[in-house]
Order: sequence, then structure tokens, then C-alpha cells
Amino acid sequence: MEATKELRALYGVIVKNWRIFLSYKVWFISDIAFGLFFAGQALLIGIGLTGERNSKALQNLTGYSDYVAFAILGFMVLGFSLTFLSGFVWSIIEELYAGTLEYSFAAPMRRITFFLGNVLLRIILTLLYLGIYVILFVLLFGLSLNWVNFLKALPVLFLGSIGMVGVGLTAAGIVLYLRDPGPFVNVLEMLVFALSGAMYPIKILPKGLQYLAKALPYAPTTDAVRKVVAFGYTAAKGEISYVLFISAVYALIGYLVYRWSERQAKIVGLKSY
Amino acid sequence: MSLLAVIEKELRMFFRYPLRVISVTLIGIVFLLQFVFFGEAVLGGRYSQILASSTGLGDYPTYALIGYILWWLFASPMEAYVWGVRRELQRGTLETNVLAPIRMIKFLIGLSLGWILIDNVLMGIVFIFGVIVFKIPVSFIIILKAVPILILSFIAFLGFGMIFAGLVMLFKHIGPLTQIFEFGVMFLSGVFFPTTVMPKTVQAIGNAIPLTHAIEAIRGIFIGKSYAELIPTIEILLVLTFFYWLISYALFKYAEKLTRVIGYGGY
Repeated sequence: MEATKELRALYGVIVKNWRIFLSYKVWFISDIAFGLFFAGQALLIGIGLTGERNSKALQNLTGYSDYVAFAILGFMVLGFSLTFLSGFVWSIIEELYAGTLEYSFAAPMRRITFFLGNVLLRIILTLLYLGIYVILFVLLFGLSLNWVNFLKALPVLFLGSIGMVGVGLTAAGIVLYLRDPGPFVNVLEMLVFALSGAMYPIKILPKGLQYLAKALPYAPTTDAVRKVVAFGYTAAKGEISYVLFISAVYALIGYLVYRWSERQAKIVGLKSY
Repeated sequence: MSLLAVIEKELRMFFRYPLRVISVTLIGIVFLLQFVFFGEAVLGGRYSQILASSTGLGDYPTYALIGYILWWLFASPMEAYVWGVRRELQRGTLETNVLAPIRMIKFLIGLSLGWILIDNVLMGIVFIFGVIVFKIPVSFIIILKAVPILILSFIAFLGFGMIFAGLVMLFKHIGPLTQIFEFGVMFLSGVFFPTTVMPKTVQAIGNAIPLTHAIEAIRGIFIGKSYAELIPTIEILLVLTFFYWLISYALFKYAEKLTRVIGYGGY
């Protein structure tokens, strides 16, 4: 009975978010355009600088000579990664701005149901975007990958997403205490963007930033996914093990930080706008 | 005086949230890094012979930094008109500002100038960051020589951006479309790659955008061209400035007349 009640509440949160999404349809076009913009820039920068579709320099660094395939895979992992950060954090911020967070938290459902509802819809949308991107990138940019290995890389992506959920929960815990959390989240998203290795191998970053990138789950997941797509599971054993480790660490941190922050919020109250 | 008051209002509101200043600056820096690092990873260095032969400037970080900073400043008035008017609509203060003893166009130009100032400060920081991190060869003379072209470019960008002030009054929520347009301009104006890699028709569309010529002129100064050599580019920029101010003013007047009848709408 309890489970049915929670599932109904989960469905309610998803429907609410879906309706909000549908009322701003142009964002859908804008999101798709952003993906095309990203891949298009990669292609034209590469051609403008080298005059070729492949880069020897990039191959030496990463094993990928097709820089468009390299960037597109990075972009897809980044898009998926940001879903978790956005799902947890923006769901709180939007409710804070709308002044409905207290009501949502007071609703007869578990807090995790509220978050899952927000994240699930974003995951569904992200998967939809990824599907559209794959078709568009193949048609427009001649994206050519080992598709069997591409499918094999999905479990690695899901493994990495456990750590990303942990980061999302940690950030959500902090956001509960900020008066104007929007800029904080923007800073966080930009750090993730810069350190995700989406568009360039993190090897070209200064040493300090390389360590920071490795300490977050994003770049290791991107590296592991790229390696599985190019060379299969066996070659990526080391990367997959590291993703497993870092995901476990962040899942634990996220759980602990959010639990602590929620307990505190019950004492000092939530911020309102 | 009223123009200064609008500018001051925008500056005060923006700078009173330090984390917001940091966040916008960081966004500026991260986007720059993405493209420059990507270019360097693909090149295996920073110099491209192909880029040098098509544009005269082969050092990719310098090429990208100039394009990017100018693109941001180009987008600044558009963002100010689109989000500025929308913010006022959301807060419910647009009607009050319309009733204030200040002409609507003056109010909007104030918003836009305020954001150009803000973005100049932010992009100044990003520029200095880029110069230091990528060791861009820049001198005081180059900066000084660039100033008149920058001023002309700002005037052109202001006029171009005002088209969006008219559009936002007519269609209200055009933020996502403006964003798509801004990204599109990155392709058309040769911000991160030379426009010569694109078909001739696309290049022709890019030539109708003031940013394309502003970037070309500033890059010209960085490679040591004299004003005399830049005259054709500056002439086109002047013509486009006049043309877009004319169009945007006419569109704005039409939008203002229409909204006085049907109202501004609420959010």
C-alpha cells in the first residue's frame, strides 16, 4: 500500500514537471540546437585549423583521431552528467523561487520521491535528446562509431551516474542553505563543464586541475566511456574500476551530506523567496 | 540624467550579488577554455598554418580570444533588451517604468548600456585571464589602436541589439530563440574558426552581421595592420551601423505603438 502511494506521488511529480516543460516548448528546440552547435563548432574548428577530419595530435593524446566523434561522445556524457546535478539542485531552486518548496516537502510523500520525480523526467528527456542527437550527428556530421561498443558503454555511463547522483545530492544539501542559490549552481555546473573532459582530454590541463578532474566522477566516466567505445571492456578495465570506486565514494558522501543538511533544515527552516 | 539612473540601477543590482559576478565571469572563462583547449588538442600546439593563410592570424588562442570577447559584447545588448524587458515584466515594474517621465527608448538604451558596461568589466577580466593563461602577445599600442574600433563596434552592436527590444515587446518570451540566434552568430561571424570553411552563401549572411567586421578589424590590429589597411572593413561596419539603427528604430516605434493599444502583457 505504502509503495503504491509513493508511486502515485512519483507519477504526480513527473506529470507536474512534464506540464511545466510543455508550457515552454521553445526550450526543446533551444536544447537540440545547443547540441548541434557543440558538434558543429567541433567540426568546423577542426577543419579550420587542420584542414582535415582527423587529427594525429589528438590520436596520440587519446587514441581518437576523429575529433568530432571524440567531442560528441564527451558532449553526450556531459549532458547526461548534468542531468543529475540539475535534477537535484534546480528542482530545489525552482521550487524555492516559486515559493512552493515548503508545500512540496510537506506533501504526504517521501523526500526522495520528490527528487526522483524531478530527476526521472530529466533522465527521460536527456535520453530522448541523446537519441535525437545520435540520429542528427550521424546524418549531419557523418558520426561513425562502433555501435556495439557504444551500447556496451552505456552500463559504464550508468555506473558513473551513481557518483553523479552523489554529487547532485551533496549540492542539493548545500543549496538548502543559500539565499540565492542560482549563481552557486552556475559555478558548480561550469566547474563540471571545465573538468569533465567533454571537449578536450584532461591531460592538457595543468597538473592541479587534472587531479581535481580525477577527483570528480565526470572526467573518469567520460574517459571510461570513450575507451569502451573505441577499444571495448578489456582495454578499459582500469578506467571502469576507478569509476566504480569514485562512484561509491560520492554516493556515500551525497547520502551523508544530504541527510545532515535535511536534519539541519528541519531545525533552522528552509529559505524562502 | 534619467539615462544614468537606469544604468546605475542595473549596475547596483548586478554587483550587489558577488557570487553572481563570479558565476558569470566563470561562465565566460570556461567557454573560452573549452574551445581554445579543443583547438590546441586537435592541433597539437597553438599555431595553425591553415588558419594563418586564410585569416592572417595563425595563433589560435589569440584568434579565439578576440572572437569570443567580441561575440560576448555583441550579445550583451540583445541579452539586455530581451531579459531586461522580461525581468521588468516578471517583476511587474515595466508598466511603472513606462509611466516614469522618461522616454521608453531611453529607458531601454539605459538597460542596454548598463549591461554593456557590466559585460565590458567581465570580459575585461576574461581577456586578462586569457592573455595571461595563453600568453597572448599584446601591447599598450595595440589596445589603444583597438579602442576607436571597439567604440564603433559597440554603437553597431547597440543598434543591432535594439531589433530585439522591438521583438520582445511584440512577442514577449523570445529568450530561447535569441539564444539560438546568438549561437548561430558564432558560426556566421568566424568567432572560433574562419568563415572560409563554410559555403559562400553562408559567408554572405555572415557579412551582414556587424560582429563579423568588428572581429576582422580587431584581429587586423593584432597582426599589425594600419587603419588605412582596415578602411574597407571599417566602411562596411559604418554602413551596417547606420542600417541597423534605422531598422531597429522603425521596428521599435512600431512595437511601441502597437503595445500602447494592446498592452505589454504580464508574466
